[in-house]
Amino acid sequence: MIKNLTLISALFAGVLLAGCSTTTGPGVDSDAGSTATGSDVYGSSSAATSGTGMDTGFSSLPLDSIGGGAGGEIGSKTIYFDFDSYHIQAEYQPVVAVHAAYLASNPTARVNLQGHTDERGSREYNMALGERRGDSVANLFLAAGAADNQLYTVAYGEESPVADCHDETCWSQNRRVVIEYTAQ
Amino acid sequence: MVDRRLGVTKKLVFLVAMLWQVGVLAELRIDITQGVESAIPIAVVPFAQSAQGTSAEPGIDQLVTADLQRSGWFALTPVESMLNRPYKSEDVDYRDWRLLGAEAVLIGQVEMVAPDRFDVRFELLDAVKQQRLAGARYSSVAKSEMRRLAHVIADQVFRQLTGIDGIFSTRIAYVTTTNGRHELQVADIDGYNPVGVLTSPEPIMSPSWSANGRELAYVAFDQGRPAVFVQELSTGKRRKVAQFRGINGAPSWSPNGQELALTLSKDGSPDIYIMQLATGKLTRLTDHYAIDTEPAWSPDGQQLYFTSDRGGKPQIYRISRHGGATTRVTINMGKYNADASVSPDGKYLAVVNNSGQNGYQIGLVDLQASQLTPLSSGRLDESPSFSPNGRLIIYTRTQANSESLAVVSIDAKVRQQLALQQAKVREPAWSPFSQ
Repeated sequence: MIKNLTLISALFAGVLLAGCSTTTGPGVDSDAGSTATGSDVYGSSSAATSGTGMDTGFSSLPLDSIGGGAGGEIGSKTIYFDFDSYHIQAEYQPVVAVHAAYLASNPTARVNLQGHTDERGSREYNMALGERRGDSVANLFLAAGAADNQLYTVAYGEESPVADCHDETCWSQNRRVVIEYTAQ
Repeated sequence: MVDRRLGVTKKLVFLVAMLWQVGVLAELRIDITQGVESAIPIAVVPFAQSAQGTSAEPGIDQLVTADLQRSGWFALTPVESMLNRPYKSEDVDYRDWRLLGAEAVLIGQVEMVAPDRFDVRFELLDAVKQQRLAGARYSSVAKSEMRRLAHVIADQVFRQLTGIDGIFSTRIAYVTTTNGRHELQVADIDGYNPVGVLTSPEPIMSPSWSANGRELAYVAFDQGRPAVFVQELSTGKRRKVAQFRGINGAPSWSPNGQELALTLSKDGSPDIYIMQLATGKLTRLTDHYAIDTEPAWSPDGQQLYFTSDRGGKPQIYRISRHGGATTRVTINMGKYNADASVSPDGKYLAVVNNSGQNGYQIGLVDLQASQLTPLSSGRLDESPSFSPNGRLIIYTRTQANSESLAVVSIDAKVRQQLALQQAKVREPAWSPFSQ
């Protein structure tokens, strides 16, 4: 099914931008607080190509050769949804099938299923809806022979839009699940 | 108390850019977009200054004036029209102030007692009854604390004249986004003194204040996955309290400060849990295949409101803190209700409401009457949060190219807009009263 793994390797772009989150106190409770630095500093990651984070130690692989059935580059890794729905429409079944088959025949492959929504409605409800969308894709992958430990749903809700406007032209692009390979 | 019926009520003309042209330029800019039609006439006399130096720009009287004006409850006597400027009650000729229509007069004095240290004194007078309503003296106040002291004085004036606790010395937490960089900030309610609490390249969500106002719980991504954190504001010290598989979201601090309600999907579907903060012990409150999220405590800590789509579309439900049966709260209030904020008296909810057309507005749910009143008119309004005195709701307003914070009174008569320059600002959470 996926013959050209060398191409995938060649396209390897494991660039992890080290982000750094820091905490500081506003110092409203004590005089010393105004310059206090938080004790908890953690490194997180954000992939340059997708703008979303992943586990440290994994790298982002652009799998342009996978899921070409939908035609466009982005269509190959992205599944779009109707408003307030996590039902996968028939037109995306071929995309799902290609990835599912790849996962089933490559047990070491791992994917993050990033569930996104448009901006309408409350943010935490949209986190839950984003997870529903990711899980919908995961369930189809499982049914097609992928293993549970290959799949990880990460809900982003409305927090990471790809299109920034306030009508359906952007909303339709933002209601999506992005299939992100973290290991081949 | 000044009797409002005896007073001259005026139609207020609100100034859009009032007192902020001097001093530190705040990141949040506040515009008053609408005020109440009748207001309490008050004269805030410029405080007397000692000769040695000034306390701050703007001065305490200007800051108090700004607070009172912004509240929409007062008509301020113009300083230019004042016949004299007394700073002690013995020197006040009440006829002068009644002539100007003022029912209340605020006077005071700022004296430098050491470099950058000031003694401050104020008196609030009833011009009709010719008596003192309130007064206090503060010794050796640091220059850096003068702004905060002004808000504290404004709170006392507001309390005396309206019978309602003032919120001028409270704060807001909110999240800004600039060029993909997210920052959790805490600022005074007038937008001043914004302080970054956390920055991250990944989303930060759902700040929730502890009951004593000293800590914030929030959602941030750690290692690419969402987690719930609790952070002490004075030190910046934080700890991760939940990072299970799936969603870790919507933290809501219990009124007793001991527990956190939150949303976890570790057991399959997003459900509401209660965590004992001291031990981390979790109790599952809801168990449903639908989405359950956005828990919010009743003020007595006995019940929680939450959002669920178990009926098909998101609506607000209620459940005992001990679990058991759920009751749908938003019935016949439109097709979408979510993200409830509970009023401090427990009588109202502020929600994100979609009545079926024109998008999402903030709605006020009267729990007893089971009625919803729209309070805003945007298409993408969200994240309502009650003020600790229960009179105001702050929320996010999304317009063409901006996300800003807006404030509306529960009677919809006073509106304010807080615009953050060069950033998206969202998810406001109003602090409790400072302790």
